[in-house]
Amino acid sequence: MLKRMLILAGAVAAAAAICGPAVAQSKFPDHPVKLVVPFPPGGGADILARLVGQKLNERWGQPVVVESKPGNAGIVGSNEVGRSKPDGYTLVMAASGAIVASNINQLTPIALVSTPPYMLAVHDSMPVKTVQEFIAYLKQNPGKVNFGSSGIGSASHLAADLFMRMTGTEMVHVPYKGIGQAINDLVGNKVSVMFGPPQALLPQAEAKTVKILGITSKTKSKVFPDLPTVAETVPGYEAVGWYGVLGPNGIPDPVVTEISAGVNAALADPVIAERLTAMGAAATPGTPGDFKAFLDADIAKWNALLEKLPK
Amino acid sequence: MSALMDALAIGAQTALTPMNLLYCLGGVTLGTLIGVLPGLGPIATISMLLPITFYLPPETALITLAGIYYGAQYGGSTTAILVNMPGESSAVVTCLDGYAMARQGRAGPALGIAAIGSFFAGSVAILIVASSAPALASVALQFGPEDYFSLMVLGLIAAVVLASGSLLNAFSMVLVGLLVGTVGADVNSGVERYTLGIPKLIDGIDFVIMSMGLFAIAEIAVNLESAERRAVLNGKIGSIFPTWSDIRASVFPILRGTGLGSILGILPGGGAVLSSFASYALEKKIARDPSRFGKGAIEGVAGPESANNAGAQTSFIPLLTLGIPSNPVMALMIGAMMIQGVTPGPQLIKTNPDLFWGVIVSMWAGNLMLIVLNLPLIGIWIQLLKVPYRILYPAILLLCVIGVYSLSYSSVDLWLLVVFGVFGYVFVKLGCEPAPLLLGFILGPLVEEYFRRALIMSRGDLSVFITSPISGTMLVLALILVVMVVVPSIRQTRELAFRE
Repeated sequence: MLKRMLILAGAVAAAAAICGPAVAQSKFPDHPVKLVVPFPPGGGADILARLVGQKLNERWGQPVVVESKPGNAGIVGSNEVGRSKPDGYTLVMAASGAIVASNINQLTPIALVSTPPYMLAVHDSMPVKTVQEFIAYLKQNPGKVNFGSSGIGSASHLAADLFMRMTGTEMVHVPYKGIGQAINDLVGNKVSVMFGPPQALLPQAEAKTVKILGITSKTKSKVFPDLPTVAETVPGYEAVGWYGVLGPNGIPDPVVTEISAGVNAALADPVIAERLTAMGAAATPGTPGDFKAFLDADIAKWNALLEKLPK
Repeated sequence: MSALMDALAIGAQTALTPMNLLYCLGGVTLGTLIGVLPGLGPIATISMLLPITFYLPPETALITLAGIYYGAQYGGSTTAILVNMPGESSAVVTCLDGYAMARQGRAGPALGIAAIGSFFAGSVAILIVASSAPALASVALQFGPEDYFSLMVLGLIAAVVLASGSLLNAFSMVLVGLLVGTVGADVNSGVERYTLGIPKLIDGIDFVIMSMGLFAIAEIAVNLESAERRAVLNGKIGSIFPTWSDIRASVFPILRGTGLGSILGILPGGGAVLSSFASYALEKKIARDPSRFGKGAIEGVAGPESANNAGAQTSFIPLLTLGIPSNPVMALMIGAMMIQGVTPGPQLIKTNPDLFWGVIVSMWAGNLMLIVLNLPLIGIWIQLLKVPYRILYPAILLLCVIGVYSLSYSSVDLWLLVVFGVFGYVFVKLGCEPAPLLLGFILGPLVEEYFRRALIMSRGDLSVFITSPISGTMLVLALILVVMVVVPSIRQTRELAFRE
């Protein structure tokens, strides 16, 4: 008898779970929300997840638990969120590299947080001051200059590859495991060029061990109004990273709208703006549709480049 | 010199406030605890605590996290000595002689000398950090990939010396370690090797899983077979503190370990892991009677424990002076600073002198707390040996499983733990020692990475390994070591050199 009642209770619970999203629409969230960071703790996505998570917590009155699930350049954690229950309680703070052609169809873009530019940096001893001089130097020394990256197929690799294709120049790629070692060898002049994130390169530029020749966004950055863009010399050149919140497919629309509104409200917070500035980035508030359009274009662009890389 | 005193005074003002002292104490206590508990390491702990540091001032946050890191180095030796389980890569070699000492009823002196050596080495290394961090950081920058390659080769050859049994076994174990180390995506081509289609394996196998499986699980399995060894442990506890002759025997190993650890700790990318292995190999090589090693030689505990703690302190140099993380824990520290809006880099010492010097002074305060904390605890740790295995072993197994799961919340890691546990058991049965395997596992991927990077940069010219002075010297040393190992075996006196 007891057993039968338990089965019945289980069936009721299952039914409730299936109907859950429809019922819960009135009040999202009514229990803690999990925000997965698919990278090792301490990186940009982790910092942003914690900052945005705290603001969401204040808005919702429910804890937003940041959980680190690193692996395979962010793909392991993103895929896991893609397979989770689409109720808005499991989200991912993804970044460039974590969402690729193979898993974009499993995930729904909700809110773009920021699109930080990269910086084109060279070792201080290289006799160039502008992007133009740099290109001329590469043309005089084809295949003699090394550039470092944080790994094969990483944003810092692809940004350099795109640059070489668009300028018809040739450098040798030296891949590293992560950005730290690459910066180490750039400062030690073992590699002399790198396309890297501002938070890693700016402190070295202040210490005059490296020179920043330009930033890789299409237009000048509000954060660095004095820095030229690479695109001023190489028209059409653009290579930016991104941070954004995504969830599994099938989250009810009102919940998506609420999460998007919550993240956008968080982006207006001065503390978040300040941290983004330290990363050389600005907040990019917008609708889920804006994020999807950005992501589709971004993935298509880099995918085309990846396919051209020598296998 | 007065500039240094001024700087230290600034640091003392920051580090010695009641709040910062309290957080430092909390950090080192927690660090000791996670070091003692098998499987739980500083990386998992620091990542879990990152959100809490969010609410602290930057210097307090960093002082706490640093305390956890070097506190774990102290605690890591405890489990290695008492139950033959290294929680950290640095404690692998401590198992060799520390556990042997414990089985002879000398767990107390082993724990004592580990604490004393660590304190001495820590204090010296902090002085080095304070007086010459910027100069040392620029030395580390001179190291090119060819130099790292040769350093790692030297380390690998020294690994064979680690073994107390047959040379062939040790050599084979290093090779197995090298092979397991290749699992994962190749750095230079992105090609996946031996991943069996499991996405989790693309990042390679975690060291903690390997060491827990090979040491902890295997140790438990082997002990379940016999009740005798347990009687040895329970019967005699022996003296708690090292005797004068223990201390006399340890003075020079501690000094040498401190020197080696301080130098190797500075090198980012694998330098620090070498320090305890290098110190052990050195002590064994210069000992009058190398056969005592692996059977409870106190030098084999004193040297490596000093080296790993010195390395733990000096590995802050690249972080604090260049903003470059030398290991995953340091990368977490950078995250902790960035969350606070402090950008680590070469300018940190100018822009945040109170943070820079505060952390350095707090390290010394923390080391002092650790020795005060650890020496009286020795008596309590030894009591753990009296806990019956039917209670101790399930507890250790549970902790191992929790620790491994906390690495990345993946059940694949737990299956790997089982696989390595089986391997570990087979290795014990075959008389193969896991320590050389672990060193091969750590160094193998680095050797390959640096070798190929050096060749990319030299455009395929092999002569860079000889023409670079640092690399050339290392290779010559490696060659000398090979000759020293091979010659006795040619004379058929190998038995003398490598067996009892």
